[in-house]
Amino acid sequence: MRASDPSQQPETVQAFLAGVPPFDRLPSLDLAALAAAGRVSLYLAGEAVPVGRDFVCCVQRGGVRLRRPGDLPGRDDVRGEGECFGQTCDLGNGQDGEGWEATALEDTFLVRLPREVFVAVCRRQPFVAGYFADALSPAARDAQPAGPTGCPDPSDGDYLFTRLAGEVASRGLADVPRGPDLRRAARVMEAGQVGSVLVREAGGAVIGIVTDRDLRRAVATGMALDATVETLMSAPVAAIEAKTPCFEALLSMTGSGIRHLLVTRDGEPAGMVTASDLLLAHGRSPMALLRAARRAGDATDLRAISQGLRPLAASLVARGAPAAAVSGIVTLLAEQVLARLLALLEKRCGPSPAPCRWLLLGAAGRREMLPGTGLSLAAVPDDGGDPIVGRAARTYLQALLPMLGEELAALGLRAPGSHLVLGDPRALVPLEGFALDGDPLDHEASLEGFDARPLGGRDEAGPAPAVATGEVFPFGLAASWLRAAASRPAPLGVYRGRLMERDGGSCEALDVLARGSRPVTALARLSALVWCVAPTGTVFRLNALGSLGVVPAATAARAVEAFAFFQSERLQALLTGRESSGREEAPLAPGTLSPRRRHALRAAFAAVEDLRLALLARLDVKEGEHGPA
Amino acid sequence: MGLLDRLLRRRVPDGEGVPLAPALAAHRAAQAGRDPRALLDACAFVVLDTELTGFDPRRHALVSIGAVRLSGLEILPGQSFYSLVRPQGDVPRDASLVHRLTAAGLEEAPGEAEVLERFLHFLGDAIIVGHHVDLDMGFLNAASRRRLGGPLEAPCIDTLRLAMAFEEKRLAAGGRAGEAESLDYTLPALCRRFGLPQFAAHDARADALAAAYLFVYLARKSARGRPLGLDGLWRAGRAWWR
Repeated sequence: MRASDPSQQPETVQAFLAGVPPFDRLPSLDLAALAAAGRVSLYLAGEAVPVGRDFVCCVQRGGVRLRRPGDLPGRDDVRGEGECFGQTCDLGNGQDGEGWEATALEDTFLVRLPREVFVAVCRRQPFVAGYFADALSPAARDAQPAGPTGCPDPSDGDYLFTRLAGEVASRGLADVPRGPDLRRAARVMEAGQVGSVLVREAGGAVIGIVTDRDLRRAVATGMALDATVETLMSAPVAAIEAKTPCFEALLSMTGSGIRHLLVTRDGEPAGMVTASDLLLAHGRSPMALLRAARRAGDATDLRAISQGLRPLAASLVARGAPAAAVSGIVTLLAEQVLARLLALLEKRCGPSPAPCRWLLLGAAGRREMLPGTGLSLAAVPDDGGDPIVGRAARTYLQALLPMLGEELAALGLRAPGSHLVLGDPRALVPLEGFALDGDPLDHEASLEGFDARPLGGRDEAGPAPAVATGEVFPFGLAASWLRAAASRPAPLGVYRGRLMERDGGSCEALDVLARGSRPVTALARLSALVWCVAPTGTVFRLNALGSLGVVPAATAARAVEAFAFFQSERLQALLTGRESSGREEAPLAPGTLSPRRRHALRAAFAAVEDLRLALLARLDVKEGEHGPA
Repeated sequence: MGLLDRLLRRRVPDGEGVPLAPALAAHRAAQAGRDPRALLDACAFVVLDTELTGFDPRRHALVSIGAVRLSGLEILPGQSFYSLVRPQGDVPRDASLVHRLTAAGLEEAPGEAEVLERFLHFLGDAIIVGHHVDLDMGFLNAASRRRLGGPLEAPCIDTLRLAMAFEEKRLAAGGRAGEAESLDYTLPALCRRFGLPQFAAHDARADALAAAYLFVYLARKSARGRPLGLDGLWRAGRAWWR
């Protein structure tokens, strides 16, 4: 046997490249071609490494520091084992590799891939170039995230077979006695927010059903609305036992051409199930949970719904939903649960002496809640200028808020960082006296008020009530907060299993919330204050900064991608890590990250760093226009 | 004429009664006229490793040869050589346990002469490098005498001796010169100690590549960032030439 075929020879280099993204996804022939053309070079610690047009370099052992001529050391970049640099590679700032200076940080072996071979592979496999061009694109990320625990099988096509009609049926039943007219039946359906009404005998026996489709047909055919319900009702009412699988219920409906089935328990009416219920229940649809939240009869129902948030998020992630979509749905559901909870509390405690606006703060206000995120709320009574009513409303709310807090805690919607406030939190920030001491992120709770959004409503216009009264939010104060928030450089990336800072420091743990999401959120929030961007979502704010020309549009777009990446990492950690670590958001161990995730992480931090520097530069200009802060 | 030149020109007697094969003649022509002061970056090297049936070239035989080419101190993994060799005698069980090559598995392999000719063609004008290379060369030269009419003429560099010299110097600088002898100088141990990539042991291809990494490492360390010639490498590591 003679292994003279070059593609069979460099197995060791091929094996190395097979673990280096993006080459790990190359077909074996392309991988073999790259490996066969590769050259292995050693650079001793401190030696200059040529970064020319001729090669793309992969670090096999050791690491290199990259610097653009003229840049300060703080702008250095680092490549570790399994990472690439050189011509055609994005060096983290959308720049070409040519002209960069590279130095070996330690004795470093590089596998150098000739440009012509690399380009040929890129032509055949466009994802290779795409990986370097856009490290944060979904295509460049890990193909299949680790399956979150508690996540149903993504292909849960058997859901209809495993769930029972009784589980998805609505509990509330609307009914009318024999005799009333169609108008009355319609009013009962409207009041109960249901699509059907049962007609009962005086003794309680169900004798027929009138559905919204029946009423529509009556109107369309010109039937008199004062006709009795018996003239329109369908009889007898099709019914199934609660223990019947959903699939059989659906078969029954399609076979009979009907859309409503009475669900009975031991022969007694227990609920109603519709075709929509069955289809929505299939796949744990968020719409089914939303509908269930709207119809929840008590705290037990709400608890069941809020317990469904995490499995729902896991299910959505398993189906490939981006973190932004998941957080949007989680927020929407939490909001619906809260609205229903407030309605139930009002039933228990009576109505407030004055109308009350509920403001969602922080992540809820920005529509960026993740499973496990608590709801931060503010209750703002509108006393209409009457101090007596105002005092009564505040007394009422002071009694209500602790109860609300307990209920939210029982629902899993309170976290250590979430808080309930009486009054508009933005008005509570003492503007002149509020001085940031150290890291403004320490004052997250105070600044979350600037993410306020009314419950069930659109984004709040204006950063603070002061604006509504005609005062301009103090520019100098907002600018000083932003400058403080932008003073801390983003990390560089992960090197040798540690999170590297731009000043050369390092640490062993990576808190994605503290070092990724929260700085972006804070920069976006405070920039929105400075440049008067009203809507509260971080992505909206960043895009607005780009479209207003505050920062280059590309910088804003990359910051949006970075934020999406951080949120996605947080979501994954929340769905997979809680059981093992016992903490909601356990820090990541940088040493466990795959080269692909390290690559994306570095690009994400670089995007945050670019945003930070662009905002600082723009602040200098704006402060020059306004005078010193 | 310097010591190095004399060493380069030293000849081992050709094989008795075996005519000089054209492949060996071509090899000798390719190896002639080497400048001992040539810079390492301008030289070609072939790092080799062999698997054997034992340690005595008179009684035991080659069973595989693996080699990889270097251009200067740059490894070219795509330019490598590997061949099994059909041995004359049995393959002892102990040897099979080490390299997992059995007599039955080698029945279809080419014979010594064919493999040697192809190896010499692959070697060209390159200098041979190996870990404990005198053992490999003992077998290669014995086979070459038997089949091609004489020994190989390529100079050899032993990474074992380079490593010993390197460690001695390193430890002496720290006042611990006496410890050098107690160190483990096997190829896997050295690769581990110097932080080099790890490869499967007792596979001629993998061992040749591991020795190539080790050679590049030791040569670059000996050069300490300065251009280094063959003679400098010889002085730095007291390389073994034949």
